Amino acid sequence: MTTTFTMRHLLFALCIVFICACTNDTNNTKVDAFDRTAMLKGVADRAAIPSFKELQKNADSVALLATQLVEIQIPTTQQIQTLRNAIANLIIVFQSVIGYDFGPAEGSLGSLVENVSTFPVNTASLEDLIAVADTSFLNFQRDTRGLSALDYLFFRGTLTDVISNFSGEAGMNRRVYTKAVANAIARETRVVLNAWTGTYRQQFIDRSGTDAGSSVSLLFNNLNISYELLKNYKIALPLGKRAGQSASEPTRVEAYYQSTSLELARLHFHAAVNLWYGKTPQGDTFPSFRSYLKTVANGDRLINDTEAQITRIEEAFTTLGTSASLSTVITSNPTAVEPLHSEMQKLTRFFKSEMSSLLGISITYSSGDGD
Amino acid sequence: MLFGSVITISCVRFILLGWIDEQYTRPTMHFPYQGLEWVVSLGSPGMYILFGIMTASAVGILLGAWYRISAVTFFLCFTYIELIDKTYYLNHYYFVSLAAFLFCLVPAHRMFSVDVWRKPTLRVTHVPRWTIDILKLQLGIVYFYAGIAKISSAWLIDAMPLRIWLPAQSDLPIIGPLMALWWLPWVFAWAGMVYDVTVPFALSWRRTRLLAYVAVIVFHIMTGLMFQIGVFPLVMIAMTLVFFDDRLALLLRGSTHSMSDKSLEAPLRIEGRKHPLALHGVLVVFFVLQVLIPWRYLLYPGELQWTEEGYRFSWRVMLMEKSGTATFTVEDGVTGRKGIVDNSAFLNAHQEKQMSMQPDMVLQFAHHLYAHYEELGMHDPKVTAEVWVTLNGAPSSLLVDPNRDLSEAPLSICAYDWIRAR
Repeated sequence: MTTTFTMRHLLFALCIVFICACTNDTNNTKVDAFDRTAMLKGVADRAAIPSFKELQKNADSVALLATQLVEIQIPTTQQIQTLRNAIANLIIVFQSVIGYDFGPAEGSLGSLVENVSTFPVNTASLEDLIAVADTSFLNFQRDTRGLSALDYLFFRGTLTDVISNFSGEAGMNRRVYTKAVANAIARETRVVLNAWTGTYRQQFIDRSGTDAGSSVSLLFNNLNISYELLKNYKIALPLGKRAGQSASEPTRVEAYYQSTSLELARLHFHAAVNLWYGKTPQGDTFPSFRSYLKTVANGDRLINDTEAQITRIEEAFTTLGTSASLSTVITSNPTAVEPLHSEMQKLTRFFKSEMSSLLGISITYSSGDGD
Repeated sequence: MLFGSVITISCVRFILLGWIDEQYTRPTMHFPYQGLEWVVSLGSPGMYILFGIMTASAVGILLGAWYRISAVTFFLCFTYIELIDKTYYLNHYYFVSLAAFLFCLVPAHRMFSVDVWRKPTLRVTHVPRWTIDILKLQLGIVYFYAGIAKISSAWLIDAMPLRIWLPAQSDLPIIGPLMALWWLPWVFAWAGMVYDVTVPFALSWRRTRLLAYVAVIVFHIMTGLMFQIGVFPLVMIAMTLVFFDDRLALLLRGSTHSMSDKSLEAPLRIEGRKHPLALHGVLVVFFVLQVLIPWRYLLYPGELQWTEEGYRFSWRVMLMEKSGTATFTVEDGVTGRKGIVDNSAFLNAHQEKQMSMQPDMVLQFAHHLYAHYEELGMHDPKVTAEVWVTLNGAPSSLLVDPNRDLSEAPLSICAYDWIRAR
């Protein structure tokens, strides 16, 4: 009896399905199998690996220059300027790997982003370490090394100040410390790049599910971590928008001494958005979150909302211009930065809850026990 | 014995996965149930000791050793742990708690057990019918309510959230490619509903029992493969065996005693009154509550899946795709200075995910933030929350009134007036 009851219900179900198929618009019923493996291949070969290669090239170049510097008693303006340019490029290139801070980038002593790009620099501790010639890095003071340390060492003051600091016996410890910092960055990058060009690439592509620990979930989570890092630490923190802050803190920006914080924030934003679009800096395309959303129910709506919000953020960046640093703007006219922050805040829900919901991606890292 | 095995596996799995640390000792705040705020995490090593005792009692149930003490200990430990933090609430944990309670009442140690080996006079071959029936009834309630919860236009007509979940499974071996078939969500939605509503009856009727059990196995293996639901499929596949009679038990027992041995044996029954009055009363109250609790949502206004007032403890299993982004602002009551909270500084990813879509947890977190920032020197902080929630793929809406100072809204079992309609 129960079997026939079930069968009758199933037939009824099929009728309903048929009716729905005939009445609903195509957007609502479409389900194309999205090729997640192709997406992961695209991300690995067109975005992640080329970005790490570019980072390696720049990190090696800084490391080489810093190593040569050790032997030079009195550096020339040209030498310091070359190093400055190389460091500036390295910090720029670093923005494009922040979204791939998983897998091989997760070291036992912290991730690549944590170890290399923590800011602001702790100048007092850094000077202490230089004074005692401690280049062991056997501490958790990440704010005494990495990119922000290089920014401090080479961009604080005029070129003449920097040359003077690095010259002679008095500058020896500084030169040695610089070499250690630059080589550590290159070494950490090498570990990540080697893994990607070695076995990790295939592992990454093979884990094509959507559950916790799958590559799509890792990529999604890191896109959000990267975006929140930008919004909360690169914009809200200097702006004094974080709970517990009693005033704005314009010095707590990335690359404070270079005064490029606003430009770096823009590049960081573009890197995140490019991953969502599936675009390389050169303009090539690969399947990514946007094309994935194209294939799921209600995906087009979310794409429109997301793109409209991205445009508003671009406009907010444009309004702020390119000449001044974030520190300068926040000091002189903090309200000018407010729209950038509030527009960024609005994109979070599209990137985070709405996208994970439509794609059925697991947000948490460990698998749960379900519902 | 099966229940003992499953709960033992669950305990060991939980410990090995490192979840004690992740869920109970590391977070700086928990979300207790209202009125049960005294149920707190015991920290480290307290939680480890508690899990140790619980695992030992699970083994006790498995082996039928010091059965009553084991069963009561397991029930108390398990329920205590589940009550520490409601973000970890799962329907099947609730089921395990209820089943553990029922196992405290039944003599499930009177045949193949250490207790019988210690004290052979305990041995019986027959138990009173009610001891089996209460487990069947409990399982029946779970399935039936899970089934009627699926009778909604979202589930049956829109096939939501299955239309989101199934295509996400297209990498499964063999059946993966089928998951992208556009009509499959409707078939799964209807089949799932019909299965849940009818399976307790089909299992109860001898002629359909075997077929129904095959359906149980297929259904739970499928859902186990497709969704991250841990040990739940195992629990249900094991527990539904209770619908079978003793012939199965004897088959499972295998070679130690053959069927013919059994037929020669005179039935050993439990002596004494079959239904002590107190036990009778406890069971009646228990099942009346079980039948009524899932309906309490009718006392609240608004859409149940949106407000979740009266949602838990109702066998609403894998019913919606819901996700939120919650941004809290604290404002100094004197200086008026506002600041945005970094939720992850207080909560782990799982807690944040659950909190960001459930109003009662939003409120608890707001209260926690009030206390935290007041202690840091803020004057009577005002705590507001902008909580954008998406339900079943629809565009996000604000879940709570973003202008309401939640620090002043009390926790209550009455309907919250600051929850916004979708």
